[in-house]
Amino acid sequence: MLFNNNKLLPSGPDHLAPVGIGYRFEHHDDLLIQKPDIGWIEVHPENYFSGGKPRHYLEKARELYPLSLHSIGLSLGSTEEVSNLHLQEIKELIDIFEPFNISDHASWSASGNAHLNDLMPLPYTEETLTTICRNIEKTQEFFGRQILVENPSTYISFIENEMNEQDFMNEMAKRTGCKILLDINNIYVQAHNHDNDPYKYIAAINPNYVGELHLAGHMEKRFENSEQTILIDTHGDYVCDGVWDLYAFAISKLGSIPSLIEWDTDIPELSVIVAEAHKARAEIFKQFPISGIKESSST
Amino acid sequence: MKLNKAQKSFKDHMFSKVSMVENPEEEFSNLFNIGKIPLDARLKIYRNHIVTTLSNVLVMNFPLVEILTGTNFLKTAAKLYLFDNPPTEPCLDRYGNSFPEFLANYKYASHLPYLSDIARLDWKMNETRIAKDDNSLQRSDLAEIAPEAYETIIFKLKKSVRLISSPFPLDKIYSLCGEKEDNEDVLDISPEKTYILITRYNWEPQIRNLKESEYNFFLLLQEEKPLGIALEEILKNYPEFNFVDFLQNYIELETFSAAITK
Repeated sequence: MLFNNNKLLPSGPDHLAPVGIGYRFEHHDDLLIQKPDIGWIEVHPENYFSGGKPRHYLEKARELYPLSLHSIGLSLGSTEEVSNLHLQEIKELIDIFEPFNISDHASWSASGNAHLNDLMPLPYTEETLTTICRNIEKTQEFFGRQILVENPSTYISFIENEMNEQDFMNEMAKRTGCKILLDINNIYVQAHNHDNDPYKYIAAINPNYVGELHLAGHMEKRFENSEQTILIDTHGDYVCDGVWDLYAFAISKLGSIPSLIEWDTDIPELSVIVAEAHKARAEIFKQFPISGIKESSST
Repeated sequence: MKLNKAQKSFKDHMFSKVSMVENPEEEFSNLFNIGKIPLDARLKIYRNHIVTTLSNVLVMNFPLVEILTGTNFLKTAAKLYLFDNPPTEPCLDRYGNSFPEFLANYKYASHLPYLSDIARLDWKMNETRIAKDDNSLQRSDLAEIAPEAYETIIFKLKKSVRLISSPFPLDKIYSLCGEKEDNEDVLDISPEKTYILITRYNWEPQIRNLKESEYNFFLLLQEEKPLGIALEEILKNYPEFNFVDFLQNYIELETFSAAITK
C-alpha cells in the first residue's frame, strides 16, 4: 500500500486544515463516502490490531487523510514496563499506515496481570517521573521515533504530589524528548475538579514541547443535596464554551498546532463532528490568517 | 506509599464489590486529597467507567447470548465475571475468552444447559471476525504441486477459520436468533451432536454444518498433519470419506490459505 507522504502533515493549500477528527466505527462508511473537508483523522490503534473490516476501512480512510495513532493501552505511568507485545502490535500499524503522530497518555492502566480499561491517575512525584520517563524512552526506542504524551482528565488528586501537573508534563518532555499532546478539555475538567486555574496551567506549558491539541465534550455530575459538581470526560457532547475560550487562549500562547475533535460516546452524525472541526479551524484562521500551521517536529 | 503498591491497591479497589469503593481501606484513602466531594464519589467515577465499559464489551462480544437471555441477564452475569476476570491487555475485542466457561458454572443459567456452548459459538465467531487477513488457496495453486509430493502436503487453514462441536443443535439455535420476527414455534433443543465450521465472508462470520468425518478431518489439518497421514487416520474411522469432494467444497469456500509441501 502506498500513501502520499506529502500528506503526512495536516496542511492544505489555504493553510487552514490542521484540524482533524476521531475516526470511529459509526462513521466508517460515511467518512469514505462524504470525504469531509478535514485535515486528518485519528484512531486508537488498539481497535485495529486485528484484520477484517476495521483494517479494511482504515486502509481506505488513510488513502484520503493523514493519520494520527492515539493509543490508550501503553500504560506509560505503570511501574511495570510497557508490554513488548503491545509495542509490537502498534509498530506493525506504524509501518503500514505511516502516521504523522503517535501518542498515549500520562496515566497508567496495567497492574499485575490486570489491564484496567481506563486512564488511571498518577501522583506527580519524582518517582512517577522516573517511571514514566523510563517507559516513554523504551517506547520511543522501540518505535524509532518521538511520541506525544497527553495530559489526563482526573477526578482525584494525591496528597503526596511534589509538583503540579503542568510542571510534571514539562519535565517529562524535557527529560525524554517526547512532545506534549495538550488536551484542552482535560485541562478544563481537572481544573474544575481540583479547583485550580486552567489558564495558569496553559501559560506554564512550554510551547516548544506541544505537538497536538485535543478538544472534546464532557458532562457535569451533580451530587444530591450538594452544590458541588464534578466534570467527567465523556467525549460525548459538543465542546463547551469554556473549553473553546481556553482553546483560543491556548493557540494564542502555543501557536497554531494540529488540533483534534474527539467524540466517542453518544456519537452524532458525522457532519456534527466536522462542524466542530471547522469551528476550531475558524479560530486558528482568526488568530493566524497568513502564517499557516506550525509544523509538528515529530515527523 | 510506593507507586507500585498504590497502583496495585487502586486496581484491587476497582475490581472489587462496590462496598470496598464506598469504604476504601484506610491506607489507600490516605493517599488522596479530600475536598468537598467525598472520596468514594470520585473513586466511583473510575469504577463505573471500568465496569460499564467491560459489561458493554461482553454484550458486544456475545450477541447470541444476549438474544437468548436478554441484555439485563447478560449484563448481570458480565459484572460478576469481570471482577474475577479483569482484562489482561488493552485490546477489548479480545476480552471474554473464558466467559463461556463462567456461564457453564453460573447458577442462574443452570436451566439453560446449551448457553455455554452458544457463548463458545459467539466467541469463535468473534475470533473469526477479528482474525488477521490472509490469502486464500486457489485450485490453480495445487496444480503446481508434483503428484509425488501430495502425501506431504500440509493444508493451512485461514486465520479466520474456526471449528466447534456441541451436543446441542447450535445451528438451529443460531438460526432462531437470526429471525427478525418472533417465532411462536417451540425449538427442540434435545441433545443432537452438531459440528460447525465458521468462515469469514464479506467481513462477517458464516456458519456451516459439517459431517462428523469432515469435522474430524479439519481437526487433523488444523494440527498440520501431512495429507497422507491425515487421510490414513480419517479413512480408518470413516471409510466413506471423500477427499476430492471435501477439497473441492472447501477451496471454493476459501477455507485454506496455503498448501505447503516439505
